[in-house]
Amino acid sequence: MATDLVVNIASQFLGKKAFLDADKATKKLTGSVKSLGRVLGVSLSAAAVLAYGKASVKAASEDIKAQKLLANSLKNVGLAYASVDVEAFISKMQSQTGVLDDFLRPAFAKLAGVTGSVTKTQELLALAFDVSSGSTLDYASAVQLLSQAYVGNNKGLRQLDLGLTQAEIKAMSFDDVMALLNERFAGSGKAALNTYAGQMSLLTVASSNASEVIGVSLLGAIDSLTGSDGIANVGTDIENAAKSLANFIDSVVYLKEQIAGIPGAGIVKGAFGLVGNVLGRFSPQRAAELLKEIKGPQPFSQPMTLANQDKGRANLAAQKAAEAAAIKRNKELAALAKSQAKSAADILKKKKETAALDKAMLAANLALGKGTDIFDMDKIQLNAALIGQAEALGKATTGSQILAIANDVQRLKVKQDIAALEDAIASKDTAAIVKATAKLNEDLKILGALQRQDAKLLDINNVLAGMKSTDLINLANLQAALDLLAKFKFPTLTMPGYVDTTTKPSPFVGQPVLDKLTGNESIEAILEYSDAVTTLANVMADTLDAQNYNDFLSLVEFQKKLGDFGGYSANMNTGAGYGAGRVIVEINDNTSGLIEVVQTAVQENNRFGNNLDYAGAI
Amino acid sequence: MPTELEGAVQLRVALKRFAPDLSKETQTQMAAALKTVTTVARGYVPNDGQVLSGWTKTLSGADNFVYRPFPKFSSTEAKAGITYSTSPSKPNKNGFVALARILNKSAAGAIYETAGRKNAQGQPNFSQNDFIYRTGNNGPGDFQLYYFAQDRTTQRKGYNNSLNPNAGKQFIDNLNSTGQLVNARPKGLVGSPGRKLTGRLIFRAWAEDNGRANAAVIKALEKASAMFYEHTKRAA
Repeated sequence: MATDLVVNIASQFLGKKAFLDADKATKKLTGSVKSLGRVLGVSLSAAAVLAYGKASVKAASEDIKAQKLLANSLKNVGLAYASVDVEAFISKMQSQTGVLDDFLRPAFAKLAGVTGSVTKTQELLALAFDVSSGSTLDYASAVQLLSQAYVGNNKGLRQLDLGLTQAEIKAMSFDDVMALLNERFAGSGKAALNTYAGQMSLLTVASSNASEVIGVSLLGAIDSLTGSDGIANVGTDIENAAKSLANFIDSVVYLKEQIAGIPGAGIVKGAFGLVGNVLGRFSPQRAAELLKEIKGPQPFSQPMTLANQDKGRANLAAQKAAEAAAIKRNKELAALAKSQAKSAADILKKKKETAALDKAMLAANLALGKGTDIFDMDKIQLNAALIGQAEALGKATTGSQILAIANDVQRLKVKQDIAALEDAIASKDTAAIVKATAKLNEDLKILGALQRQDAKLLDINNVLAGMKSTDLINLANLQAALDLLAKFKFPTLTMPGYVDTTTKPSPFVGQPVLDKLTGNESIEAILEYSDAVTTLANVMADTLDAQNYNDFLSLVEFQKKLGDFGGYSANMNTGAGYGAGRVIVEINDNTSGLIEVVQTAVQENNRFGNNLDYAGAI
Repeated sequence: MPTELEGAVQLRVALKRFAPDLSKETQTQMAAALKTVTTVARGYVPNDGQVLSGWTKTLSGADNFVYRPFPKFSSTEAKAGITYSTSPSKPNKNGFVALARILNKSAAGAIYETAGRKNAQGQPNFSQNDFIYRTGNNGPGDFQLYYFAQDRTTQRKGYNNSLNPNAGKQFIDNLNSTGQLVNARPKGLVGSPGRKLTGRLIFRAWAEDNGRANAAVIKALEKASAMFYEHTKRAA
């Protein structure tokens, strides 16, 4: 930081020299780099060859490993006879589709394990290529989808957005799936291959194959070089082989350049071209082909040995057996699917039958419920009991009998209410439950009133009124009772025990007296009696109120008279206290000793709790 | 904006090689001119009691720190750091060599010199809304956005790292109360003045010198050049 805080004074521009120096240094560096490049040229080439060689060997070894794994997988599912054909198919397919055999072999193994058929597997692999090209799925996912669909698991089809519902997808057979996918994705793979990406994938396959071919050759070369050691020291051998190859190439190029500098060496140069062409064309494969050409056409691709004939027959038999097994498995799968469909249909049918049965049962239950209502013994008994009680009520002669009957009737009604509430709860009808509950509560309340021994006649009246239908009310009797009450003469009532010379005698003197019930009266008479008692009580209450008011007015008049002495207040009777004027007693004591006596008395009063407010004023 | 002198570096080299006495004399003359500026600049350094007290305290355990703590202020040290140099500097990135320089070398002095010239109110407080959004790490095709709050525990360059949100402003206000920032850029030049030549000590002193020291240095060099020319002419 501190170096930035500088005030520069009188500077000089030396940049030109510095730049010249930099130019010189750059040129020098460039020359050095060029020299270095020349020196390192061979080494760099060797390194590149070495790296490629290692990669090729690795690719070849992995390819061989994958081939063996696939062969083993095929063998495990009984398709060992088809290993060679499968490899040929995979090789052909990868060159046609651009899908590397690294993906095709596991896919083939997976589908072969599922289908058990080489033909079906090949068909599915081709379809998977179309599907993966026409959708967002990669090839492995498409293969997985098909392998799952083959065994009836169609869930993966949802990823393809086929426009089908989940139920539709689930209901599809594998043949339907195949048909649908062929319809939707046919030609997708071909179209994809015509794109730049498709061409690049084909190129990738080609370069990969080339690498594997070179790797196989290198492995063979190393194997032959190392002899019994195998490829244990493969890294070192590859390195040495690559270096040797690079040195050889450099030497050839150097020799070619040197010879070209010699006058008249055109022939030799031509010879180098010939040698180069021969070297470029020579390979073990080419040698094998040359040998084949030299030997001429052979009648059979395989030597006609007995063992090979047996092997061919065995392969044919195995193929037939495998295809038969696959067909059998297909049939089994189809049968299984059919069975599953039948089971599903059966289940659906059973469900429908069950629903119909439930419906019928519901109707039957309703009908039975009605019938049960009709033949419900409890209800019949209750009704009979109620009828019996009604008859007994008509025959009752005393109040206690009536009360007992009323109790019984009310209990029966409560029982009826309980039954109704149970029915309502069973029917799950909320409105009915509420209504039944309210009715039960009401009847329980009435029953409670009846069961109290001090039951009032009014309550009994209400109870009895509830027991009777309205058309049973004897209006004539009621009217007669009212007429009788109207004839009563209600005198002015006075406060009992209050003797006022200025007022009339007690209002209860000479009041009408109702005879006591004998217990033999009819219900109508009891009702009339109770109404009469109520009316009389009301009248007496009104009379007492009037008498009380008159007494109050008399009291006020009396207090007004007291007011002359200063103790009256208009509100004194309503809690407002006494008036301002008080009765003041003045004591003029001219003799000694009286005040002390009064004061002592007041103090004693205070001591005993009889407090006097104005004691201190004395 | 130093004055460019053609051949001044070569002259200094020649003086040192062929006329050392003249070289020393030239250096003395240049030093005398520069010393007036450094003396004035040292006078602008505040006392220890004028700056915020916390800046002058030594941190406990500073010897064990694995990082370089904020340099404490010492008036003495800051004054000693204000020096001059009459030796040619190394070329800067643009190829210029300074024949004479006034330097503020101490860390605390440099802070006092420049504090507030970039952010007059102190460095901004770290905004809690600063989030980094980036896609996922699950390879190509993972376009899901994740957000990461910036780590609050680490030092955030360019932001106020104090728990006091007004720390920077208070610090700069205190420094401004002892000396104002002055731009030493000569007036009349084309372009807007930058902050590079703004300061409270050497830039302020240089600005207030009004170019007298600069003229004296140039004059000393010209004089030396003339004398060296005469000297070589006589020798020839």
